[in-house]
Amino acid sequence: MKKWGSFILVLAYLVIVHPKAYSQIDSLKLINIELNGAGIEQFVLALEKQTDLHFYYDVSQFDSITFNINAKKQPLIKVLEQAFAQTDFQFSIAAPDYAFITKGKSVNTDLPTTTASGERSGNNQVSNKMPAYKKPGEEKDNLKTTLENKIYEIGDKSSPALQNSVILAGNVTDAKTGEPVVGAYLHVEKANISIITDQFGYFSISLPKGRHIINIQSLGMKDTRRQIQLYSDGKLNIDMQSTILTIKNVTISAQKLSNVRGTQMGLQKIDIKTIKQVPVVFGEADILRVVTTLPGVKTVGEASTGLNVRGGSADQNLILFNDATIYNPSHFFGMFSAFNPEVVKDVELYKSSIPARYGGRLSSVLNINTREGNKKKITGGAGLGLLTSRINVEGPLIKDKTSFLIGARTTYADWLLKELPDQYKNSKAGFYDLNLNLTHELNKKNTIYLTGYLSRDRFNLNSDTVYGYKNKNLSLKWKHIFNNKINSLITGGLDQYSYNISSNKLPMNAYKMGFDIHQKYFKAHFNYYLNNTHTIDFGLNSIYYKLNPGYFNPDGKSSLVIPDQIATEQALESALYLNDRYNITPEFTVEGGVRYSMYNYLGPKTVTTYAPGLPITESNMTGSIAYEKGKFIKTYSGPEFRISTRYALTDSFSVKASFNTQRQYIHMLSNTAAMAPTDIWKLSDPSIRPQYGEQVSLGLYKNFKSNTIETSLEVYYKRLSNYLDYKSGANLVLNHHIETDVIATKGKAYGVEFLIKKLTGKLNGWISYTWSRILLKQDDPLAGELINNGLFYPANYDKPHDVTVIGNYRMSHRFSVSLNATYSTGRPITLPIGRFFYAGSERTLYAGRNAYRIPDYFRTDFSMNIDGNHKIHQVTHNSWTIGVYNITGRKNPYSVYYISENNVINGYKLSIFGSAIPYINFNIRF
Amino acid sequence: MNKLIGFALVLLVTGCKEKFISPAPDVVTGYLVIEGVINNDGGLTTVKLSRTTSLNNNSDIPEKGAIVRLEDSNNGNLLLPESSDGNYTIDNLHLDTTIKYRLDIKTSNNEEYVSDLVAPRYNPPIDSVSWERDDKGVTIFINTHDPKNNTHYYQWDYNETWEFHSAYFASLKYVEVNNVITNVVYRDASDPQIAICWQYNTSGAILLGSSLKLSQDIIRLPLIKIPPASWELSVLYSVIVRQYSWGKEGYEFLERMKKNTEGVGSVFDAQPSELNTNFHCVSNPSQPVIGFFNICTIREKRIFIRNSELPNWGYHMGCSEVIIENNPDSLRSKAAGLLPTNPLILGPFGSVVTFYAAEPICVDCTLRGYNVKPTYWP
Repeated sequence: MKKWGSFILVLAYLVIVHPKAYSQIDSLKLINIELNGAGIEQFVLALEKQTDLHFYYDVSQFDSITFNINAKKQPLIKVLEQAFAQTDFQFSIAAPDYAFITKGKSVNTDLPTTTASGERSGNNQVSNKMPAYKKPGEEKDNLKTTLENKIYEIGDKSSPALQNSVILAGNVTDAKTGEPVVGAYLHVEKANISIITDQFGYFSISLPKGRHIINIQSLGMKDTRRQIQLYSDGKLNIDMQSTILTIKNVTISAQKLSNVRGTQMGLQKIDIKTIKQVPVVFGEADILRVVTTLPGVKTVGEASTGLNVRGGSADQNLILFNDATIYNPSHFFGMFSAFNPEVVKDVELYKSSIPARYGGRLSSVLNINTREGNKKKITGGAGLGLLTSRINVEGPLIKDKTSFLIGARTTYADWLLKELPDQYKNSKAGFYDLNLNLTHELNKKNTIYLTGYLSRDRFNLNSDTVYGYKNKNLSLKWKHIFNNKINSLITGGLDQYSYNISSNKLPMNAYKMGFDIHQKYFKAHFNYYLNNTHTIDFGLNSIYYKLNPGYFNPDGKSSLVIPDQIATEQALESALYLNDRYNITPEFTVEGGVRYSMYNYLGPKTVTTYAPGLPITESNMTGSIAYEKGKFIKTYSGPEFRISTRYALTDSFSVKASFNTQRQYIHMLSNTAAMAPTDIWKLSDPSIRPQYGEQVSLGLYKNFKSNTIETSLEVYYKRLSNYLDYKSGANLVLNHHIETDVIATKGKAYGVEFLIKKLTGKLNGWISYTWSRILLKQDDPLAGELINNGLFYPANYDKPHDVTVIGNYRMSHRFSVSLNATYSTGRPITLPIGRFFYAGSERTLYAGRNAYRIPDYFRTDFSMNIDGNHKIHQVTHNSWTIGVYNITGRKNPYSVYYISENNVINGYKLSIFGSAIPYINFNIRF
Repeated sequence: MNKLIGFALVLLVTGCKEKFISPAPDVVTGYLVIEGVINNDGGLTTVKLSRTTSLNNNSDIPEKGAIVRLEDSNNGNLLLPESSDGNYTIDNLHLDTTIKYRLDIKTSNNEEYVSDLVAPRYNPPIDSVSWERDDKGVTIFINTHDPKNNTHYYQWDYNETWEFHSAYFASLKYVEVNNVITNVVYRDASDPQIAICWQYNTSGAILLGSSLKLSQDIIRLPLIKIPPASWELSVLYSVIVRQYSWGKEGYEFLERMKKNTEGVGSVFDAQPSELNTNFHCVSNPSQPVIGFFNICTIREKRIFIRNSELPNWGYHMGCSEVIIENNPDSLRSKAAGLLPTNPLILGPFGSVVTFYAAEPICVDCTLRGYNVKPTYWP
């Protein structure tokens, strides 16, 4: 290195101090040359033959340049001038032996900042091209340019030439905050190999030895590239600049390319910037509501953040918040999602080919990734809305090593409750959520992540019934890089969800009741980058569930309530998985995964037995068996297959197909259409079998206009079995033998999803259209009562047509407007077909489950995002969001019901938001 | 949960409840509906038979001409004759609680329905019907308990009666000739009494209570809420509460019906449930039938609440009187639409020169109730 440094210094002296220090002899030496359409190599070779000079140049810069020169006895300098006359190439003849051909104004000899590591031994090739002028404020660009034009020499040059392929690995980070850039797309030119950084910004790629140019693109980041000279395995860390302050926005997003190139089907990824642009009720950026605008994702209505993905029920989604399972992702009766938008980085939704590392739910995986704290300096932000406020602070604890991120959110909706009629005047409602992320980099190969999450909701309904629920999650993650080929991720954590209700209005009947679920999990994930054609993922997951299905206890001394507690349930769910991504050719990729999952229902528990071959009813109970602690009561197991394949017809057009099977061992019990706060979960047991689902899908992906417009078309067909539905009048709360109240149904779902997406440019957004059906059937008379006479009936969330338009127009960098519109078919309901008189009133007669539909849904929202000025050097940056939810004021029915009032049956439709709802939000960043 | 529902409703639904016109076709279902509990305390038993009808049909369809018999497991049977359209009654039943009974119904169109055999059920006497007053008015509670800890499932219904008075006790009335008021004279004994009236109300909701989750079979539940300053308690109020005891399935039948028709309209509505029954159509087993056969001692308790027990109840009709001269011109221009109350200035021989008059609703209580005193009224 020292040698190299002094060499540069000499060069600097020669070039800077004596810019015209051409060697007299060489520069004037007469040359004979005649070339037609020759490349640089030929040109240089010709010159080198006739002079003593050795030319240094960057081959890649001359890719498209050809030389047409006819010179006879011309001085070298003339020849060179002639050759580069119409280009921006410069040449310098530095010493008797050296000449440089560079792109740019001149040769600059500043020592380039290097983040490349790896041994370097000896050199006979260098390129150093720098713009001559540094305009004030251009520093960043220049830095970038420097890094881009520098050639990183990686590896040991003297390494034996036995292997042709070597492994390059490294991290892509945000130059400003030090945070990893997830999902950055690296494409190696010529070799035509691409890779996407993982959730830690890490990548590992196998390349032939030699010179490569890597183009790096990521959403919200300036495109950059690196030139490398690869000798052996080595590391390359890449810093990217964010595009926030650029005038011309030419971002090409990572997922546009990955959409066509990745093997994943039905993967939707949205970053928080996009989420924040979408207008939502009360102006609180809401992750789950934005997810519902994607094709194939539905929700039963506005008061529910429960997602129905491709005909799946709300409990068939695995919602992971930094690996922690969130059982109730909503606040305030489902009005808000439980995730603070300020700490979220992005959201990924897997709905067709679910990677083998995930399992345990049938429909989808919703992966919510939080940001890591800023490693360079303390920053933060705060937001004020009509109903909620939030704050977040982040920064380094040890610079470049340890960072923290804290986010908190709370509500002050009590003022709204004061506006309610008298009977609710004493009500109180509130929620909060807290996030804590710590990241510590032990060394280059080991990083530790600690994530904590707490969310709590509490409602006091006119000092009568107090109702609350909370999520608590803690996880510790250790990322270890063994070498460039293998890295691992070991995660352990605790997830808890509980709800409780208490009432003390009538002292004799005062009670406290509740439900909770605890799970401890361990995940070990290994990523083995075998070579260019094979990338292997393998690992194991294990979850230990402890579920308290319900308690009902007296509250106060005068209460006569008998304490009632349903015995806890325990289970262990484990899975081993192996996944191989096999790039058969650059165009054709197959990804095959197997996940073998095993579920053990564990004691201590007394299990009721039922007469075999008869319906599971109270009258068919035969007895009970008590199992001791740790005893395996029932084991279910089986393989799950995850196969997907991609064939790229062109660079921007590909076809994908996938086949997936899933097993789900935990069920949510809910007899309401919406995801109610009192829903409970149930583990599979000897009488309730795990749910099983399989899905085939086929998709076409085509990008237009340099990948700025992305389109996709996916078709799927899905079969479900053992999906739980309920007998009439099922009692789900504190039921000691819940198996007698549920019935296993079969289901089929199919649909077509269409998406056009443009995330760059002044006008951006997406249009999605879905046509889909989800039908259920219970035709086994042995299983209990038949629903709909054993014929298929639509599920509650079967909404065949669904169109969403999300649009955003950036008038300037400080002002943008967003508009979204959504239309969907009304959801199915059971309507009365007649009436009768009983017990002093008219009563309704119901028949035919879900045979009718509520009126169709249509809504338009509008918002304006106003940013303060973009000067970098100010203490705070402010922004405003002003908008109107449901701008047309349409009364979209959420449900329809019939009620007997004054002995007359009346039908009503109920809307959640019956008018336009304006909102304003103020945000500050520091 | 109900409160929660209500809360969510009010919070979110700001005037967003609209009438819904059903897209479901008008189906003529015509299923038999059997209502009534066999009263085993010697009192009157009424079994009401009717048919389900389409949603848009506003009149009830009583099932006439059926043969309703109470059969016991020893092959004895009693006929319940039809006392009025669709009502089949029997009095003074004292059934043997050690054997089981069933109801057998043969309709005029030759359908036959039979219930399961059920034993007469014990029903503990009502301990008390009590009331409490707070700023939300008066709440009437039912208090009952089963010392044997064996009843658990209760249903109640009630009949309210209240006495109320006209704002002005009228001593005058108009004399009308060809619908024109010509004179004002004193009322006499032959005129209908219009100062004191009674009004009635029957529970329209299914009132259920269970002590299953309590350590003792004790019930104390609010049944009726009377808002402050309301007319029910302006003079004298009375309610008779009847208590029925049920088995688990019968209670569930009532609970489902209640959920389907009363506990709806929230964001978190449960799916409508099919009603369970212990009746079967013998002639056509797939024919749906609505009802649940039950035999118990029907207990009842009546209480009275006087206005004097409720200081500052605050009932106020908002009436005022005007003065009218008793001459044809004045009567013609002023008296129409008002009723005379009492004289102001008397002329010779007790003739009325000027008199007070007020809105009819303030004078004639029969516009809001009945002027016949109930037999049980003190």
